[in-house]
Amino acid sequence: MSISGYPDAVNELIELLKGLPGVGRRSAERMALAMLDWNPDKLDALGSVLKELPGRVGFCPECGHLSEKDHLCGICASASRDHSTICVVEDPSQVINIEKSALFRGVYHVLGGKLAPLEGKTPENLNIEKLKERVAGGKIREMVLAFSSDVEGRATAIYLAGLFSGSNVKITRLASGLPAGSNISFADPETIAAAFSGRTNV
Amino acid sequence: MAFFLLTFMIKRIKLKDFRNYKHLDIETGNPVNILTGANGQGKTNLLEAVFFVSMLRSFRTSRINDIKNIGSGGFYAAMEVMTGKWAKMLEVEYYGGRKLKIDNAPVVKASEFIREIRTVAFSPDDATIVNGNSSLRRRFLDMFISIMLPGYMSALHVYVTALKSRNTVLKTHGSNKAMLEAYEPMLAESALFIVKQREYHLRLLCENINLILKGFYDSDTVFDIKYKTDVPADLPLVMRKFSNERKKDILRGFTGFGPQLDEIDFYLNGSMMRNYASTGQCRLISLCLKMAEVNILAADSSVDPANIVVLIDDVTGELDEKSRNTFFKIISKAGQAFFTFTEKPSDDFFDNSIEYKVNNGKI
Repeated sequence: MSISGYPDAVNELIELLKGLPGVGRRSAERMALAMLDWNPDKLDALGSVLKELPGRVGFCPECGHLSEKDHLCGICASASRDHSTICVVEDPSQVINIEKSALFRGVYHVLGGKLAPLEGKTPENLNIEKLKERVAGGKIREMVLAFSSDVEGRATAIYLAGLFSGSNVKITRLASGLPAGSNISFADPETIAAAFSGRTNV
Repeated sequence: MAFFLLTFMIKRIKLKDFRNYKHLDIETGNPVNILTGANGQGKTNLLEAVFFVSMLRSFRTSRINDIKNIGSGGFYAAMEVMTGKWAKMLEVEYYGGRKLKIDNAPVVKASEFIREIRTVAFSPDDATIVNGNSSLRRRFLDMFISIMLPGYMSALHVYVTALKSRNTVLKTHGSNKAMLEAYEPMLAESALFIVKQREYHLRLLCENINLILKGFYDSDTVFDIKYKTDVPADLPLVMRKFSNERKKDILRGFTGFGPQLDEIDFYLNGSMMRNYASTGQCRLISLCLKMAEVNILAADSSVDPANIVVLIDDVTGELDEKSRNTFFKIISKAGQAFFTFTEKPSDDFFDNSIEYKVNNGKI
């Protein structure tokens, strides 16, 4: 321990916490100091959760969503889901988010990123082979592409649409435009432009 | 008094570690402001700061690192501006990444931020727009259209990102046709939009410059702009060009056509300025170019003339009296002006101006 700094254990904790997204030095310090106030049982629980994390959490061998290690995820294992409609998303947090709407009754496919050659993300390091396998299985009737509307998201959607254009799968993408329940007065010009070009009959 | 607008744009400028300003906080509550002082004291730096907060770019450098005070980790620049009836605080922070705030609320999109003030900078370096290569004219034009049409900046951004991505794919995955095709519809769509806007705004500029020249000379000096693009006229044609050129693109490792290669050339009385114009002619036309920008902005119905700010860095000195008057008349269409001079000039125009003495990063 340096004369004026934190004890080594606290410093190590701060350094580790700093590696998390959105956490800077100051927040990491506050978190570390807060943990010092926790009772030993709670710290122990945190420690063992962290320790078991890699052993307990894995990826669903079917769709690539997070799952209990070596098991299908709940959605893929469920018989009440429509296994002929598959929604392709970038990462697991989007599955969770779409599930909150409780509207989509199909299954998912998690790519683990989007096509971004500038960052070295190419088809080889996305979960695309498995998607081809699932389509080749012949049970899929519709594929919904749910990507953000930035350059990478659009490129990924076009790439996948091209890849499966020869199959019998109907390929759709989510509408883009005004957020539901929002006030049109607050929409920015690009959103309005997207909403106009995607307008539908009433 | 040349300015009759009661509201003027920039009321206050705050800087931290911006060029040679360690700390600055000044009120600028006057339509005509003059920065005076010896060379190298920071007059142009202050204009640069005003431009940066309005446009999120510098008119002098494309390297953000050049802007921070030497030895500091970044910089901060803020302005309190009148937009309509009340003031807004625009803040730009560059410590590591860029942070934008309007009235303390974070702003994510640059295109939203730059809509607040329309700034036109007159700088001695402007002559390079006329006699330099086409890329400088494209850069000038892109900036101008971005002020007129915030959506243009987004289209450029989409285009550049998709182009870089496709070029990377050409180098690393050239044989993967599907990957190349993934970027082509986006490129085609934004390229067509960019070309259409460039054509339109160049025509506006050209017409306007000819009007301004008539005010300078009574003779029949004719200015012309020739715009050459290899982007075909409509979407199916652009898409076909992509597929026809794909093999060549793979061999050379980059996309061989598009607005990034557009040629823009200026002609004065029929001869190409880049090759044949004198230094004086280049300066004059670059001045006309910026004046035309002010004219067009002031005439645009979506722009409140009070929201136009002109920054004039040492360019009026070489004009004769008649030209100076034309110049002052045009820039009076703006809501506020900042000039740099070594000494306050005697023109009537500056009778009601406020003078700020700049001395080694302090005012």
